[in-house]
Amino acid sequence: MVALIAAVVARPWAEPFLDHAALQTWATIFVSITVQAMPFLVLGVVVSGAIAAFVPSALIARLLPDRPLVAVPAASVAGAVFPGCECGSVPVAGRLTALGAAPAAAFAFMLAAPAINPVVLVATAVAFPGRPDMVVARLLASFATAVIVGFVWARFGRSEWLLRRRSHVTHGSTRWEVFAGTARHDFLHAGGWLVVGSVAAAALQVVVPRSVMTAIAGTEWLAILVLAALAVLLAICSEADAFVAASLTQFSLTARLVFLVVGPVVDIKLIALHTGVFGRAFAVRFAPLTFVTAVVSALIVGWWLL
Amino acid sequence: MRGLNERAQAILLLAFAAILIRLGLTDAALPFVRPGLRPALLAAGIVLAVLGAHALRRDLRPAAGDPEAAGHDHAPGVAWLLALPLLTLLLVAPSPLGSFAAGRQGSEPPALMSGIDFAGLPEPRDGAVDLSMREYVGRALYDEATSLADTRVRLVGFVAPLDDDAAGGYLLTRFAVNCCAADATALSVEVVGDGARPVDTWLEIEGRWEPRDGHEPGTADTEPPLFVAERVTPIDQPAEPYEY
Repeated sequence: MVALIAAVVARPWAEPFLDHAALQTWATIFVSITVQAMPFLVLGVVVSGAIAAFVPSALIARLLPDRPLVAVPAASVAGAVFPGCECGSVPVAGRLTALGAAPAAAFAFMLAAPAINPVVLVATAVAFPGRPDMVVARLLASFATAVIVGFVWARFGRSEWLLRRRSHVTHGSTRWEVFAGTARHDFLHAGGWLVVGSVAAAALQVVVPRSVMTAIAGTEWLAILVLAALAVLLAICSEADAFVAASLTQFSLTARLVFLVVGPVVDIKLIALHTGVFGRAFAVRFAPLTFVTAVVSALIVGWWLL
Repeated sequence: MRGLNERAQAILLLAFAAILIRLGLTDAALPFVRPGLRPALLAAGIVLAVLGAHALRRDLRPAAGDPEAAGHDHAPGVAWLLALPLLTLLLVAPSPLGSFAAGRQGSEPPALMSGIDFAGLPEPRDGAVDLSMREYVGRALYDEATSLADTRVRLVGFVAPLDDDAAGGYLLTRFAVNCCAADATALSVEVVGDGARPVDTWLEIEGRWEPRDGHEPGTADTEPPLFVAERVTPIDQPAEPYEY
């Protein structure tokens, strides 16, 4: 409250600084990423709250069992029908692991959901007219990324890397109390980390001009690295990244496929969200693993199909 | 950072809900996201308002529901950061992306975008055809039948400086947005036949397409297409600042 009043009082005094074009552009992009993500984040925490309140943990453990050979591919397929952006799937995966689902399966779901759901695939088809192979390649490479990361985690992952979250609203409450309490807590938690990610992504968009990034697209291996890095830095919603990729015509289709496969599974705002929901020890291992897996999957599928 | 007690959580949620509902109901959302997202923003705002009201009720009447948990339900300190977008909206009052953001992308036209039908031009209004910047740039560069030839066209955009402004011209630019301003792509035409204009002024220009020397219709170009201005009218910034 005090901050709000101070802000209103200080506005005229800070006017020249606040009207600077770079700050204005940063503010617009920052607010855009945050506002754009809100409906998806709210959908995610509502699903998360509903899972906590209405789905018994025994059922979750049975649906996502600790048998990775079955659970990881099944969870990846389940992700394909969850119509959301990446921001929504993180709290859902966090809730699933907190309730006893196998982490490998929850992560496979978390990676698959934003990359291969119908909305994203249709957007890709619209952005690349006459190139249905691009849609197929994206589907295959993203699915492979989710499954491989799930298997790697099942084989090498350790549970102590995961932040153990206490269930905040415990027994004795009504289901409505559990639902509202969980959804509220997950929104405040993931939302705060989403802001961290949007601040960074907007700053990078202002500081690193797209024209510089695209100007160094001469050699193929460099182009692939540049677009993979761009996918991490821009943090574009998975439902919009196909249109940006379509406009980057200086790059080969394979390099653009790398952009489309990396973006939904690892970017600045997702790393912040993962840090918040699963802990720092998790994020520093998960981000490089996912990045490398996504790049390699996209290269193999691109070399095979495109 | 200190965690939030339930009263602080409730205030934060209700403030966020109020902003989202406002963005969902008014044109204030359009500098940030495409218009089609507004119902989703409204719905998200209503859900947050319900969650905030629930937290407020628990704070004011701890006896309701579960007495033991009341007053001990803290949210992590990182949640305070959710105030940052609210403060930014209030303090900076971000305007739609303008010439600064366009300059970061360079003036090279993006590749032909989908959804453009080169078949026929719309009916003229008051002697000129209203075209979106996306459609003008697409037709000017990629239409082998040069449907823009001998057609009077009306374009709307803002003034951006030319990379090389020795000639005294300027770019008329508009952003195309798919989801939000983070994925905005700048679309520009080079205006000729008009004097200097202040940067970021919104203009409505009636004029004609002129082929650029050395550009073969149907192929990409590294420079924006030309637009010969015949009548230039400064206008207010449109309610929809981007093409969606």
